[in-house]
Amino acid sequence: MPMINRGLVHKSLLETAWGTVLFAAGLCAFHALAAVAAAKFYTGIVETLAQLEIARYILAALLGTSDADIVGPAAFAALPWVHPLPLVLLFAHAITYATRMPAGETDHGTIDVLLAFPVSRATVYASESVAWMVSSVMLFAGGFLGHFAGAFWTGKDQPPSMLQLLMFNANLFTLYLAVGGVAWISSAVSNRRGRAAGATFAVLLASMIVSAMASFNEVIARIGFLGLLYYFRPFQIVQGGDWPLQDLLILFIVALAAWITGLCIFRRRDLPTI
Amino acid sequence: MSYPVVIEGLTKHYGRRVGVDSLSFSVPRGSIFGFLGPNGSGKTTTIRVLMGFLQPTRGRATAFGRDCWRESDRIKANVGYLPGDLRLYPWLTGVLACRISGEVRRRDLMAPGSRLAEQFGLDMDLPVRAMSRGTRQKLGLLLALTHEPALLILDEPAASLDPIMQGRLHRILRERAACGCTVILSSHTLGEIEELCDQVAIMREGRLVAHDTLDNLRARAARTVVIRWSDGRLPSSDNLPACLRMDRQDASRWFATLHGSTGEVVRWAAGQPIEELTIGPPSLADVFQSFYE
Repeated sequence: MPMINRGLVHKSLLETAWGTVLFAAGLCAFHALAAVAAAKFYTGIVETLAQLEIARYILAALLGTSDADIVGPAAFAALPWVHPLPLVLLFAHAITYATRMPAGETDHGTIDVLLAFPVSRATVYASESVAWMVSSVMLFAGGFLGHFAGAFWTGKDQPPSMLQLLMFNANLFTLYLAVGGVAWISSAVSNRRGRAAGATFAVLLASMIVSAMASFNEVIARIGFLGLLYYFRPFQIVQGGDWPLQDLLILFIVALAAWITGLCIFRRRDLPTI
Repeated sequence: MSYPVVIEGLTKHYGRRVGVDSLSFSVPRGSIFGFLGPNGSGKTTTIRVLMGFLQPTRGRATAFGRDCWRESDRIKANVGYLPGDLRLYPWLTGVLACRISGEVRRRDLMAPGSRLAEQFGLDMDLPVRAMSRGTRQKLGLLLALTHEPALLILDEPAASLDPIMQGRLHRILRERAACGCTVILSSHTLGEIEELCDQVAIMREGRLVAHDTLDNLRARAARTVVIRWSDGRLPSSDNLPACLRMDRQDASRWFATLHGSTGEVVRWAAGQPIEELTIGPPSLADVFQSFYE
């Protein structure tokens, strides 16, 4: 079991503090605006959008269902949590953070200084991961803060409920972890951060395309389970009000397996000069 | 005598390319060990194996009796390392370097760090992004030296330092070695090697081509000999002893290279009509050159 080194966690947080604050501020601002917009325009715009077939298809894809006909006004409550902008912010944060070490450090040549410390590679990896977890909590807190600030500003109590919010975010968080896990593996095998980020982005993009096309194409729908986004289904939460335990578990296992694989690769690989 | 660093039959391949091949040597405690060789000769590969960054293909490297690949973290508690191509975090300052290094090593390194910074004239609050190359090198040295390690592995430590700072660094290294610290110094600067090192290993194409004390290498080194003949009468060059090789001559002098002991030349010269005999210092540069080529 790798030990966590406080100094390394401190170093990693110092290095990423501003980036995380900016990402969190972006999420906070988005959710605040979304909450305000929802309060002002919810009734009118949602009913209009629900009439439009194309809007229902897009929302179905975003919500992780292939059945556009069952998307009704209630589903629009989940829109801010499946909107591409916060998803892009979250995925970008996961990719930029998880590719910092070892790919980024090797790429910049700072890995020599980092590994000159009396710590095992497993400790370096685990400490960086702990710092990533700390910053991810800040990130999701930013989203929550924005939502509640917006709701407080408008003074209206509207969907989604607190429980639904927690469910959306739990599902989103495990998806974020899975994307980060893929990035950790890419980072562990690469000496170039750009390549590691590119490989992760390619996996994510493929997953997004499969997820989006699954609503329109039956063949793609059959292989949809291979994409990460298949397991992000806020619609299930909106529709049934149940915790998507199976999706959470699958995404968590993918994240953990990817993280452990990255650790094993990093522990055994050579670190040449670039 | 104890040997903190022992390398036995070390071979490292990068795919088909050979980094180092069957390398074996030991570094005695308290010595300053010069590690020389042209670019691509395998110095950096050897250093990276010692630091646990590369896994040997064959053979092994140990430091303080521990395997450098498997027990790298334990070894590095007693190692100070300065990479040849030093890259530091742009946000890092001397204060943060001491604080983070201290937190990682679970020791307060602020006081020794400040003392070293004073010796190097390093502004502890200046971030790396605002530093000159020489100042970054000073910060790298601070990171390598602050925790007073028993083994220092320094790759071109004086690069980018001005002559005054080089002198201070040399003094610090001699002081540390006198206290039992072992220093492995990779350098292309022969003057620095001559000034500091007790032993030298010379690498070429991944192999060790020489490993000896500096005194023995000096004894092997060629010397320039100038002979001024009395009354400008130059004898035939056939008259030269075997240890001297004639390079050129002018109206009254011979310029030759001595490959052997000075005593032999002096004994020979005593029987010759020589007005003046000058034997220059041994040229280590020529010795190194001969191993490099």
